[in-house]
Amino acid sequence: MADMKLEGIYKSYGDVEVLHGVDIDIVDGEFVVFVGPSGCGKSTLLRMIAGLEDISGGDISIAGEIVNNTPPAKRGIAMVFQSYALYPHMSVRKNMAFGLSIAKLGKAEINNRVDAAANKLQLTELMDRRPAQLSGGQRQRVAIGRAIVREPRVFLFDEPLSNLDAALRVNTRLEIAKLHQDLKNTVIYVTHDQVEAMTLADKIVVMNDGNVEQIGSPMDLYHRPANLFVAGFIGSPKMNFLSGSVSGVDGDNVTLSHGVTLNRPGHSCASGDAITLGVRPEHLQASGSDLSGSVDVVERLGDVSYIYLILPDGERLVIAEPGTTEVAAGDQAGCGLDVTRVHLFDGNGQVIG
Amino acid sequence: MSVLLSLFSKKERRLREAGWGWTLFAGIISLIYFFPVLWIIMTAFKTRADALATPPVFFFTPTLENFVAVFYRVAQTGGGEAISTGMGGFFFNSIFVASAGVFLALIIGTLASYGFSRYPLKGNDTYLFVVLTTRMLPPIIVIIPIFLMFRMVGLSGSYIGVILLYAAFNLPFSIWMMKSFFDELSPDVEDSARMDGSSEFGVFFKMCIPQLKAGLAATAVFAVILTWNEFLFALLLTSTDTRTVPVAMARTIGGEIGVEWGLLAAIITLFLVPVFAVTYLLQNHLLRGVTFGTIKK
Repeated sequence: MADMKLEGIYKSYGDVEVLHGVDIDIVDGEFVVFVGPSGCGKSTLLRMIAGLEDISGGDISIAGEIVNNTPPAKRGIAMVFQSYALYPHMSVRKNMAFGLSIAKLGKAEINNRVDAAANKLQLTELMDRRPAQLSGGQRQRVAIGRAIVREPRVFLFDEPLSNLDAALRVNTRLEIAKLHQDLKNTVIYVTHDQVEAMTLADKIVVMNDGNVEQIGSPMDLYHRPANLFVAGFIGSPKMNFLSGSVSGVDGDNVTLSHGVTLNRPGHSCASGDAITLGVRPEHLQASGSDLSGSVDVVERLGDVSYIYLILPDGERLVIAEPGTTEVAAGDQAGCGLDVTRVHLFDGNGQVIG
Repeated sequence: MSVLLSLFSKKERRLREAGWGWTLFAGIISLIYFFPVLWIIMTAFKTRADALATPPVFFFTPTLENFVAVFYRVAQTGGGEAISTGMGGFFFNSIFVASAGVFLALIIGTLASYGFSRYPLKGNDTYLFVVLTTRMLPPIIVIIPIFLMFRMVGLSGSYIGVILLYAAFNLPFSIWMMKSFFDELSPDVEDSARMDGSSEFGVFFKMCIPQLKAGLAATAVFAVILTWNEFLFALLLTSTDTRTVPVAMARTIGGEIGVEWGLLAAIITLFLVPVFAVTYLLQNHLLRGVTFGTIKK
């Protein structure tokens, strides 16, 4: 079992605190993705789990055992780095066998494990090459192979796809997903790309500025974002935000300055409170007339068209319309709001209801 | 004429093999630079008369008498038998002192630069600057205190004294050069080795050093050249037993019968051999070393 628990994790460099108390529970076999913008502390957190960075406060435990001071190799963890970090002076075979020979495994056992991993990753033909003689995708596979042979309890991936070109990225993403289905190990994966997070994760941890903003399944985060940051971060194009205020309250119903009334049981809104209305571009109907404005730009991708509206008060809105739209730049256009798919955030950016 | 024309013609310049014109031009420039060395080597094979001939002679019957004279001279008294000049010993001294000094500087320099690169101190750059200031003073300024210090501790005239001094002399440069090579290495590779269970010594010796062979070779060549030609410290800090070739060479200038140009040229020719050999053996590494990191990996 490789359940993992992060409790109150802090990290400071001198006087600068970069992680402000992170709590995450990871269940054995789960694929967890840490996602967030650059500099949010996700890679630092991953390196702390790996044992490559000291922990300033809190506890990391794997299978019930606190590993704060356990050296990296003793944690039962293998890591795949963004830069691949292959040993440039060693052949592919030696790269993969290095950790095993340090662990003093027998030669036969080392060869078995390396060959099995090479087979799985289609590296058999490349075993005698040096990293410099490999393509980006091949290097990435060697890096993954090097992690697999150690048969770790937990795999760590630090932005493993960011150095690959777009087509290869999709392929490798699928390979990683298949690998996880095969091996069923716990995986912690760091990325700033929300598409990777949505497609790979069982559980996503959205981080911002050294804090965890929300933890949940991809669909949880998509349908029930806890705050403005998560709402804006998950989904592409990002969610539309319209600022406004509460114009009336009637029991569980809240009426907004936009003319919409939403049912939010347990809300604590009062008339006049500043709020933000959030709605995803794909949840706006191009045929309605709840909101209208002039069309600024239209992007047609074939399967979907994005219509960029400028509302009379100057706010901007993106509508995703399936298929190819007839609307052109300069037209007046309207859209309909589906109140069941609208998100409401208070003045602090927290979701209401 | 056609050479000059090809030089100045405004033909499209592409990355291609140089034509005969450019090759000849480069050859002439190289010859101008290399001529002093060539002249010395030629003089080494001339008789005294040829060496002093005016105008200088380019074609002559080569002789090895100067090379023999480097190591043996005819005794003034007795039966005129050949006696050793001691130059063989001085060559040994030069090779021994330079190799040991450079070797020591490389070991200490590599360890220090790894520290500077991977475990920076507070004020790391200041320390690095301080390290370099020791080479900013002209040797003539520091030679007197060093001479006195060496005499006080009894290092004057000993091998160990000169070796330590040459190691210290090469350290700043080795540290700076090696640090730039360490800075080029990806720390991820070292972290990766740590994840694989490498100790810190393993990371240094099995990951960093094998990647830095080129850098080590480049640093070694520069240090060898600097040390090999060093004169002033050797002049004042070596004794007759530990004297190096540059000092011994200087003593052949200004003998009773004027400068023996042929002899001097022969010593210099022999003196060039080891440094040529080291540079030649390491030249592939050297080129990689000095261009390290200029291309995205």
